[in-house]
Amino acid sequence: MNGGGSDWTSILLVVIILTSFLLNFTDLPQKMQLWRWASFIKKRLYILERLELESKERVAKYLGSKFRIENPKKVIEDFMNNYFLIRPVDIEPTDIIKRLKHLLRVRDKAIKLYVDSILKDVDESLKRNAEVVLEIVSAISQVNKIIKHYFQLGLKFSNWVLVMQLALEMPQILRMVQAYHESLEAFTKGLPIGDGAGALVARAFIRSDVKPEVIAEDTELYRVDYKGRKLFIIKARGPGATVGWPGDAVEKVVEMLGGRVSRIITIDAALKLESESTGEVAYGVGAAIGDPGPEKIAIERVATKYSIPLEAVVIKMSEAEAINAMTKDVYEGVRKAIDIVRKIIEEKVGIGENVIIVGIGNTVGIR
Amino acid sequence: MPEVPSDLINSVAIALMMLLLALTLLYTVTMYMSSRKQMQQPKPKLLTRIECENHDYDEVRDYMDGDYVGKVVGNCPKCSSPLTITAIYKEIPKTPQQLKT
Repeated sequence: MNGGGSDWTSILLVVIILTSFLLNFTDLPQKMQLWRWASFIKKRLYILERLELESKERVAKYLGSKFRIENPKKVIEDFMNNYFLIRPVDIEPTDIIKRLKHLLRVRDKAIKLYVDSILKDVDESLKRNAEVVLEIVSAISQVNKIIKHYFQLGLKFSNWVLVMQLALEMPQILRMVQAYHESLEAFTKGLPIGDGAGALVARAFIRSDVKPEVIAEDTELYRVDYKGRKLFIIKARGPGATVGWPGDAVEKVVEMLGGRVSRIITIDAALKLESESTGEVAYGVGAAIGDPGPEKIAIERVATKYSIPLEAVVIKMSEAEAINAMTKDVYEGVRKAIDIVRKIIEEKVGIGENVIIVGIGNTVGIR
Repeated sequence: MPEVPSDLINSVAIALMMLLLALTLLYTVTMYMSSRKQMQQPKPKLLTRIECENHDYDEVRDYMDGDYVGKVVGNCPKCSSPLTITAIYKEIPKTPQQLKT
């Protein structure tokens, strides 16, 4: 019995040494990790695939039933992969904003032309919603493609660092794609989204009898009297899904007033930090607008040209809340922001003075 | 062939079985809890807020197709000025647990 026990111990010792050698001096642990991460990614890729498929089907159903399009799947396929934007050369920064602005407008026009060619005799706001719906499906498909690309690249070259990075990023990516997928409900139904918080604040100062003037493409100007002050309210033209060109609009209004503007107040939705709560409102200085650059710089330039103070009010929310139907928490933030804007006007703008209020954001569901 | 001590095999086997059993139990409980949590998520309610432009009347009703912010939906029962939609938002009803806290 004792001799047998000793032999068993020897075998165990050999196994331990062998295992230790394999784990320390070969690529086996990495291979095992790679296999584990790969299976983790595969499971999530199935979910991504399902989300893409469901999004396409939902949009096809929306286009087919709402606009009676005969082959909605072809409309989606023709839109996807196309309409990309090649960013301007940045190693030579001269005129980069001008070039970027030009490219953004060209792309915007091309998408509008595409949607116009499919949806004839349809209300403009519904066309804008359809544009965004197509963009969402395209974005989901693009994310799915990029994930598959890095995953296959990682497996092809046994690049376990790449596969591991991807696996660690997957929950966040999945959450984002899920949010995009869910946002289809808001755009197909025409519900205000979290990103429309800025536009909703601006809307609160406009009575139903005030007629808008078109000041820039898809952008409107409302002239309102408020406690002896003259408000020039700028927001995108709703209730279709558009963000308009607020930079252009602010530039035009300031020039129209010959620079006699007491303040420019921009209100926008802002991404919250994980430790912050949805609906928190903060104010500061600058242009609160999250565009690729041209609109923000237009506001900053014209404000600097005439030394106009720039006030910024932001309503905090998560990325998912920003692109989905507005939640009650966000709406409560909107109410707080309205009070802050009122306070700024009453305390910092003199009687008879002009103030520009810019409600930044998507106006889906907000006229 | 070395003689295998049967008591060692028994102990290792029992330990392994206990570990497997504990892991299976833990996994099952975790899955059950997460599915229960998902099932308990109440469906959000879409609401439309309507206000009088003179701020002397407001109401919140269920969202109806065709609603949008800025739409005039009637006249104020108090001052007869226009009643407009001022917000459309979704409200997630609180679970009994959330209400307790």
